[in-house]
Amino acid sequence: MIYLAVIGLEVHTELKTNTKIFCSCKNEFNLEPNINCCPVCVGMPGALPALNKKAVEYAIKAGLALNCEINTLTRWERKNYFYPDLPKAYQVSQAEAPVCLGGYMEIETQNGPKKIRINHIHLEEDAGKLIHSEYGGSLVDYNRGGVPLIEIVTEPDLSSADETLVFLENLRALLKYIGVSDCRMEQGSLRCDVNVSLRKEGEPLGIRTEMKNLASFKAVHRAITYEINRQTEILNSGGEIIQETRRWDDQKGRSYSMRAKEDAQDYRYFPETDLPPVKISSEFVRQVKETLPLLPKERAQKYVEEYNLPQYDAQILTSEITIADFFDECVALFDNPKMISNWIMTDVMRKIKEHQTEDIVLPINAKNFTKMLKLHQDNVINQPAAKTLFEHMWHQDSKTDPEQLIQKLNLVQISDEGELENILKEIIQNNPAAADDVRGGNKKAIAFFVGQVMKATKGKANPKTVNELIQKLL
Amino acid sequence: MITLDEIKKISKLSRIEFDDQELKEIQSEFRAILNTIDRLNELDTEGVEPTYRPPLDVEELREDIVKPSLDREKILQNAPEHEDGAFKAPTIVE
Ligand SMILES: [Zn+2]
Repeated sequence: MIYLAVIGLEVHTELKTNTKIFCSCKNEFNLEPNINCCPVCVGMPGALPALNKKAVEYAIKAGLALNCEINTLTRWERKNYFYPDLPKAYQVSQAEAPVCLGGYMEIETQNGPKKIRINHIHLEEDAGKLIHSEYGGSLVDYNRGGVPLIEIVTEPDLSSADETLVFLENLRALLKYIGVSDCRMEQGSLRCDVNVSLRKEGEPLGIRTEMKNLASFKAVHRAITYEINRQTEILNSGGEIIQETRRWDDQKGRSYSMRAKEDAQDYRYFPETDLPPVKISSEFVRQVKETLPLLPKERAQKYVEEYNLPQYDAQILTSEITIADFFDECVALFDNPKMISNWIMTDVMRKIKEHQTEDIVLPINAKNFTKMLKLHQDNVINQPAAKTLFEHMWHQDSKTDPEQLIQKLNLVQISDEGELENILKEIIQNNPAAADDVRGGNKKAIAFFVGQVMKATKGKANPKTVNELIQKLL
Repeated sequence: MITLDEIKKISKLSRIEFDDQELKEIQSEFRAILNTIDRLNELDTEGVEPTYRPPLDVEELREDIVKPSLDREKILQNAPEHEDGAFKAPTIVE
């Protein structure tokens, strides 16, 4: 029996505000435990929360980028559960009136573009972190407690593990684009829960399960594939799916039912009366809209129209904001978008893939990169020399002016006819048979002489001049 | 009418343990409280927007400016146990 997979996501992202959501403690990652804490974020009795305007602004920004409607009045609820990472024994969250409603993101699939609907986006506070103590017990660090989070809840519009991955990658790029989050999965600033159910063609949705503890996009993909197989097997053998929360074990490559937590599923949401509801005026939304950068699609369109780049190239260049910004910087310094694009698409991208990290880091700056391209365009260095120079700049020395580097590395192209003619004459003398072949019209023999001159000049000869000289002398 | 099972469920969620005698007492107190609250249902709230407290305009919210946190010593001062600058809790089993 073939079933259709129905997948929905809950994506949590930490917002990169300066301060926490309800207090003025610093929002930063990876420090000594409990140094960014105050009575509010460790839940001391009587402490009162004060909502961070920037957090609301960022949530609105994310909502606008995802085509959501912004609520004119947003409210707060307490979500109650006991866990040591939650000092108040409730998490301040939103249930009834979240900041953003509706919305969608369009992704490319095998069957063309597809809209993945967003149910809503709400703001909430992050919990603290638990560390195992070597002396037994758990150590609790509340530095992360109270860091602002948005939870993006999709409709169950995704239909495969691959599609989910494309959506997540697009979403992550978009959130980084608009500057609301770093989206670092390894640091936990982007987390994701997945709902999976199966149904037969034309039939209503099946029972769904929820998967937690997905620490990477790869884990998300594996967990979905595993869950689709697991549910298919159960249904095919006449069994029933139980609605439950399952914990993914990436090492073992399987998930486990979290039955122990089932009792605690009742979160008993009720209004958070310590926080007033917030009125969001259309004027405020308009101001936030103005801070949105050009989004990937629009930016790619601009590249196609203004710089005449192929659609595919424009799409690759704009998929990550770091690359797109680098491209723009380069174009501002050196008016040859085509050449810049070609180099980024090939050499720069290859280097980035070699050192795959979550964040793209470019060791070269636009100024020296475009200087190198200009040296190549002006025939001061030839193609192989440009590649050598690029390697050197990327790995060893991105600070020194390329003009100095080509001297130091001895890469300057030899275009001097006299010098090249002397070299070529000597090669002709030593290879009379090959010279005869050229005279007889053998194209391969021409390549032989070009190769020999390159060898003699350590690749620095201007190939155009060499070709002209071969024509002249033979 | 609140049942004994409901009381048990709530006490479990709240991590409060009662013996059988206490449960019976709580049940009758609970009933009394709910009856009092139920009187509010006699009010006609048709067409009235729920209001928990007056709203704040987004422009009036706190600006995103860092202020010093509390010294860690003070943060940990009332903790029954702490270790390496962290609060110490019993081991959590998932
Ligand atoms: Zn704080």
